[in-house]
Amino acid sequence: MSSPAPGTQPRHRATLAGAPAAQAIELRKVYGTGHTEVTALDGVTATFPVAEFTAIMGPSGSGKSTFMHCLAGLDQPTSGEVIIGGDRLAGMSDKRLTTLRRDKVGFVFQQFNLLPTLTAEENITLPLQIAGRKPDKAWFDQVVTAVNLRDRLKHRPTELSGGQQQRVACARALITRPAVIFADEPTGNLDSRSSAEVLGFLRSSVTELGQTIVMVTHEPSAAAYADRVLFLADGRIVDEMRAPTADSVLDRMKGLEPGQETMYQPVGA
Amino acid sequence: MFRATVKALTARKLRLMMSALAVVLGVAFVVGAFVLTDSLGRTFTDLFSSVNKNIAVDVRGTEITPGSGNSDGGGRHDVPASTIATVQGVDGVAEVQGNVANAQFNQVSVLGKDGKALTTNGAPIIAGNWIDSAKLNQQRVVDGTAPRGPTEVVLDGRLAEKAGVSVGDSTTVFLPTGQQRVKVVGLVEYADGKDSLGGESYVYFTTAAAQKLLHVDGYSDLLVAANDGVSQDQLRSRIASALPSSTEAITGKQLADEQASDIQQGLSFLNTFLLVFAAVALFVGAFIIFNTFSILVAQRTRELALMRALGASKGQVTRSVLLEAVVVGGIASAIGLGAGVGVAIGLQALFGAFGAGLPSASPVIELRTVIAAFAVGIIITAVAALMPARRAAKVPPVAAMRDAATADRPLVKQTIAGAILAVAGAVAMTFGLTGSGLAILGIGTVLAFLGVALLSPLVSRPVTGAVGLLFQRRLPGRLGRQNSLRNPRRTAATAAALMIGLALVAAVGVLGSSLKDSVRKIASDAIGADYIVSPTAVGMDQAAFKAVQDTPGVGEVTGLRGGDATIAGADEFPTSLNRAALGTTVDLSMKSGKVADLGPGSALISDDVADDKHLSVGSTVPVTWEDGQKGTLKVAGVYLSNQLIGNYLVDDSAAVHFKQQLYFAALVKAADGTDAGALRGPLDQALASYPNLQVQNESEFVGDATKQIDQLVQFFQLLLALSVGIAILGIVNTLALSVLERTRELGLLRAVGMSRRQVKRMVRVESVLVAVFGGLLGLAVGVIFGAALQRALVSQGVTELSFPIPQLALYLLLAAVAGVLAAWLPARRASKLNVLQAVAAD
Repeated sequence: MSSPAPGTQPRHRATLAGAPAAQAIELRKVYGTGHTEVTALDGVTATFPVAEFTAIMGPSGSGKSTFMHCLAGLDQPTSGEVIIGGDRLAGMSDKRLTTLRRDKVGFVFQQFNLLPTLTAEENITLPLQIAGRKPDKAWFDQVVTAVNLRDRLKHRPTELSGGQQQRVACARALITRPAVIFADEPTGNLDSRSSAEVLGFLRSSVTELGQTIVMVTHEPSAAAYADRVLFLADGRIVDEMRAPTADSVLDRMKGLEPGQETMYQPVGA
Repeated sequence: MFRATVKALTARKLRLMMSALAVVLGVAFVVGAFVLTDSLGRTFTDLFSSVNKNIAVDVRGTEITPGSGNSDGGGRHDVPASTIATVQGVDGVAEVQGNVANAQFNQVSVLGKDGKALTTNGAPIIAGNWIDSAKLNQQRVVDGTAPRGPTEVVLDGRLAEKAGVSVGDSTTVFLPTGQQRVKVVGLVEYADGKDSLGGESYVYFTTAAAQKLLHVDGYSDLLVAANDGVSQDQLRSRIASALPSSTEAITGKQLADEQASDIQQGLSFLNTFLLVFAAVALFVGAFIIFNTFSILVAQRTRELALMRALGASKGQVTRSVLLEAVVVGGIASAIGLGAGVGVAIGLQALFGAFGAGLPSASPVIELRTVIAAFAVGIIITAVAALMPARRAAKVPPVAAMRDAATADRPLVKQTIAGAILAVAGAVAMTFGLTGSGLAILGIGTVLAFLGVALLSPLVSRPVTGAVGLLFQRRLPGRLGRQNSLRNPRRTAATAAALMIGLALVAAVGVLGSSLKDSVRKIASDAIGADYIVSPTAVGMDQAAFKAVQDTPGVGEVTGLRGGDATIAGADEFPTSLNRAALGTTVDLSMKSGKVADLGPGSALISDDVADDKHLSVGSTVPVTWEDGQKGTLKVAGVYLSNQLIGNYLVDDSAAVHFKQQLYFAALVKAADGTDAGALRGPLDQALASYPNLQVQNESEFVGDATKQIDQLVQFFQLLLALSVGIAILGIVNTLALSVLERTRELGLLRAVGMSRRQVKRMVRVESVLVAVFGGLLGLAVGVIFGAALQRALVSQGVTELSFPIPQLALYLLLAAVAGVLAAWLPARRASKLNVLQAVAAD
């Protein structure tokens, strides 16, 4: 194992070191070559401080999903650096990347992405089980209480509502106390009430538990839960907004709508 | 709709071809069986007609016991020597030659290079008289001269090589009248340079020597050539009117037809035998096709619903799926047809390896073979896809709008159907085993397998779950176990394919093991002797028998002889022995009557035959002996059925009627006061000049017999292994489809930190669990089948039931290994999955 078990270390090593939870330096991502070359990320530099909730917004094709996939170690940038919890991702083998994702990164996807054969409890502790570790009981209880799933732990995903499923996914992301949680359109498939529950939970995990969260979204109302919003357009960060509200974000987005059609469809957008 | 089908096919061609591989193999085996037997049939027929080309008429003795089915001449009278002159006097006869040949196979051998008598498993060594006629004998002497003296012989080149002799050397020939020292004076071959037609060998004596040594009074048959312009039919009727009684004449054409039909009969047995294995392979293949189409339909629910929503009728949907099946079946048949020729060549090599010498034949592909290939391939595929196709039609159009979560359908209907089929199968099998014929047994077996397959989803969860607990310690194992529990129908259908192969392998194993135990039991019950002297080739003559009797320390020696006879209207093989043997070297448990009453004109009979023919002590039965003599036998006693002795035991005085005067075994008991162990050396010494005889104690004797059973069992299991191989393909296919279906889950697992090794392990555990489930089902069914077979064969001497536990455990282990192998590619594929695409995939 490349890092000690999360249960045995101070909650956020990065906090003590004073370093950011995640960092992107001059990220470039180019698809194809020659005439068909498409630049998805065009030199993106960003820092994600510990215990901060960052929303990434941008019109479709702005590169926001590619940015997050590169940050999370799911995709390889063409050039540039990604640093998560003090580890440089560049040049890591698939095995080390896998371990990094397991120990330092949490994911919440738009499609709830739970294992249908496992109960809610088993889904929550899945990353720990993969690593062959026992969950820290107190932490598990705290997380379960926070997502309000106490009485749903023995249910399987098919027996849960969409909102409940997404809260299970959130709890799963939190259980390893990762350096950073990446949420990809976490409310894209939810109704407004469920969305509010999930976003409220993400917010409180930042405020109360000191978790770092990076969320890609296209909903200004969702972005309003964040501490700051990064706006991407044509593969570049074009603006940053602190203490966003739904209205201020919406205004800013209107200015970003592309004058002409973007040339590519980002994967997973 | 047709275009949509074609598109669907090309989009999934790899997956479909995987499942079609099962049909390809099955069809290839069907084609192989036909091509092999057709090719051999034509080759043999051609060979015989060329050998017999100048024979216009054949004169032979009439059958001694009509209807005995012995068409190789064994049951015919000899032709008196004087008949030659009679036939020669008939108008239109150009030439007559008297032919002398040993009547039955495996009664001639020659001393081999290694100092032991040559044993032949397949093609025999034929002894006869050398016919010096360029017209009526297609063989010619190519080295040396024809035999002239009573101990001179000519051999074919290959036999000479096996015997390690060349012209001028001496060797020993073993004949029905004992062993004979001979001098090789020449080598013979067919006109085209071949040593033999189909692997058989020849030893030719002078006519006089052959008559004496082969115990033929006159000739076996007369070969007649016609003058130009005389037809076979004309000549046959002229000769027939001149013949003495108990002889008959047939045309050369009839002779060729008889020989051809003998060959066809032999080959059709081989054909049926091979087709049974082809049927097993196809049956297993059908399960795989069924499973593949079921999974594909389930995965295409949305697409099918969309077609329905766009106005396709139920019938159109069903037809489109069926059309896919027909196309797949057609392609598989075409490939199978080509592969079948390879199978035919492979089978010929396989039989060659097991010792049956067959002529090399160029492949003959009849139209019937082609039709059979396509009919079988297409029909099997279409039938297997019928249920999935009907299911496809049931997809409601609204499913296009819903998330394609296929709810578990209740198993009630399926379980009831399974139970009915299983019971019907068991009943049919019972009838089949108790004498209603092989076809009923086959149908019963198929029904029983289908029934068990339908019932198996019911037990797949508990069984797979329980076995899966072995892998519960780590997460990949736990997930693998849960995946195997997810879809009991799929798991069960995949496992069912493996079940069939393993059940048959296990049944054969149980039967073989029971057979061996029965042999041991019979031997220990019936043999009271210390040693058994038995021939490795031909038989034991009087001189050898006397040599054993004269060995110091030998007490009672019992010589066993036997021959064909018709007793009480049935074909039997009575055994003769000296009455003194009973109670010393041979132990019989008598149900009634006294052993001491056995004497000339009487017989001891088994309780089986007594029950069957309603005989008891004092009854008399009519008998026609092999030499044509008729008489009666009085029942002196009834013994408990004993496979070693057979149904009838007669006094030594009746042995004069047997064609075969040699003993097929001699049972030796040490004299009182002599240590049995010390007798071995002197016995070996006494028989040193009889290289075709071996001395064995009871356990060695039994060991020989059980070794043959083992070989037979292995041969069957080797052929059945084909179906196990096909079943493994089925597991690969199901796993590959499941992996594809779970792309998103696998992506998630990889995203949250599961390593490639862990993913592989997960797939492997699922595969092993499916395989072990199939293995357990197979063993359970196989053990029941095996036990049922044993019960049905009790009267045939399989009195003991025995389960080869270590072997069965090994099969289960092999099933698990098969699971690991089957997981290889799907696991690799799952672990190589692109995480980003998988989690982002819609």
